[in-house]
Amino acid sequence: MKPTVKKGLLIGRTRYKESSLIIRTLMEDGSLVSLLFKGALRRKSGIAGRIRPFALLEFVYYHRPGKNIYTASDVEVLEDFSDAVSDYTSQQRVAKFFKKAVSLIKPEQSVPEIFDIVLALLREWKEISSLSENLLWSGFLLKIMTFAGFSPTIFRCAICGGKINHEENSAFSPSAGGLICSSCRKPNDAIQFSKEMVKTAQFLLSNSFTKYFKIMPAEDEFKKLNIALQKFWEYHIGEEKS
Amino acid sequence: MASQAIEELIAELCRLPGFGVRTATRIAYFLLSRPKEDIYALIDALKKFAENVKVCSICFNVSECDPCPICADENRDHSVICVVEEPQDLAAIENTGVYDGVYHILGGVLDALEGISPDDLHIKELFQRVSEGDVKEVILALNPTSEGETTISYLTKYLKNYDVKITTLAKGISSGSDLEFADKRTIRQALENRTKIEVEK
Ligand SMILES: [Zn+2]
Ligand SMILES: [Zn+2]
Repeated sequence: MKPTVKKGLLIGRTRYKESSLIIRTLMEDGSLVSLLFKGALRRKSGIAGRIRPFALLEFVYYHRPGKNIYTASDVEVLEDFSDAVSDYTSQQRVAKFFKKAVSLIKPEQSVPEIFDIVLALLREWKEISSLSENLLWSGFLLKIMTFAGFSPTIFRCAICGGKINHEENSAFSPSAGGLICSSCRKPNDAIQFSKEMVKTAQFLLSNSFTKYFKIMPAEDEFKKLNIALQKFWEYHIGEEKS
Repeated sequence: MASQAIEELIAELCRLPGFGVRTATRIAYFLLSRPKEDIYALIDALKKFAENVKVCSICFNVSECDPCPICADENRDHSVICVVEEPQDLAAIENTGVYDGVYHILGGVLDALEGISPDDLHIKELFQRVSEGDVKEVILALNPTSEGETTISYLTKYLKNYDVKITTLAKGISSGSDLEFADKRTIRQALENRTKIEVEK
């Protein structure tokens, strides 16, 4: 049988039996795949040392329809980001982003853009880790929700469909599905959005993480934006399974 | 349908790590094929295990007493603490016969992806021991995995505040592998040639 070769990221690993490992991966096609590395912990195999977290890996495995764990034969490290994510605190921060992204992908589903966003976050981590956590989370949530098909409307009014100009008195409503213009009646769960917040949300979605430095720092507004997006997530997606 | 007793045994076995329903079922039917005495011997062993095995309140080693024989041994050098992940690693080092200090078992390593944080490990207790006792050296004998490396740098960051020498095992145990799979000679050399971690205070 011909092996499958795919790039992916490690999202979890468990020891299996005496010396084997079962790992969970987010593959380049945006699917979640579990792989079994038999005898990976044995002294001479050397494979366990290459199953690195926070690195772009390339897996060689045998895809078998109907199975949910595939047997893998090899793994290579293509890009290692562990220098940027070396201390436990930053690993914890990055792991939280991973977990959120992965929770959007259902079994049998693949969302390649989610892999791209997570990989971009890792690649750019060294640079962007100093950004406000609220800002980074807002941008990340907007991006992953958009590609998973849950995007809040942020360029048009969720009620009348009119273009959201940068006017005063717009609001964000999870139940309505996004931003609401100044002329529409606001639902009960509407959160006031300033002109700057609307602009920021639109900028975050349309630009890469490294461009976020161009945004004028306004932590209070970033926090409000992040909370609004978390509420949107809870309303439309619910709590992620752990 | 199988009897309820079998179902119950399978359900209990399934709670063990690495056991799925299939493996558990195989074990259940295997036990069934054995003489009854074998099953009673297993029950006896489990009972003794439950009643007699204790976790050392100092180093978290498992033995039949608390403190464990290593911590209680006055001939060992209590100023040197060797930090390992699991009791199996302690056993691997003890087997070399060259180490006469004491141990501290962390109970794992920091793993952000799996959500294992400092609070899940015996890290606080290690710092406590170092701050109270007359400790001169802490050997960080963790497995050479990326999680092991992360844990070493986390521990170093805090241990450098105390007046102790911090060392790690010399390279030689293959990367990603476990101490328990390394042979005696490799571990002995890694221990004897351990290197000091230079820290900025
Ligand atoms: Zn409107
Ligand atoms: Zn002890």
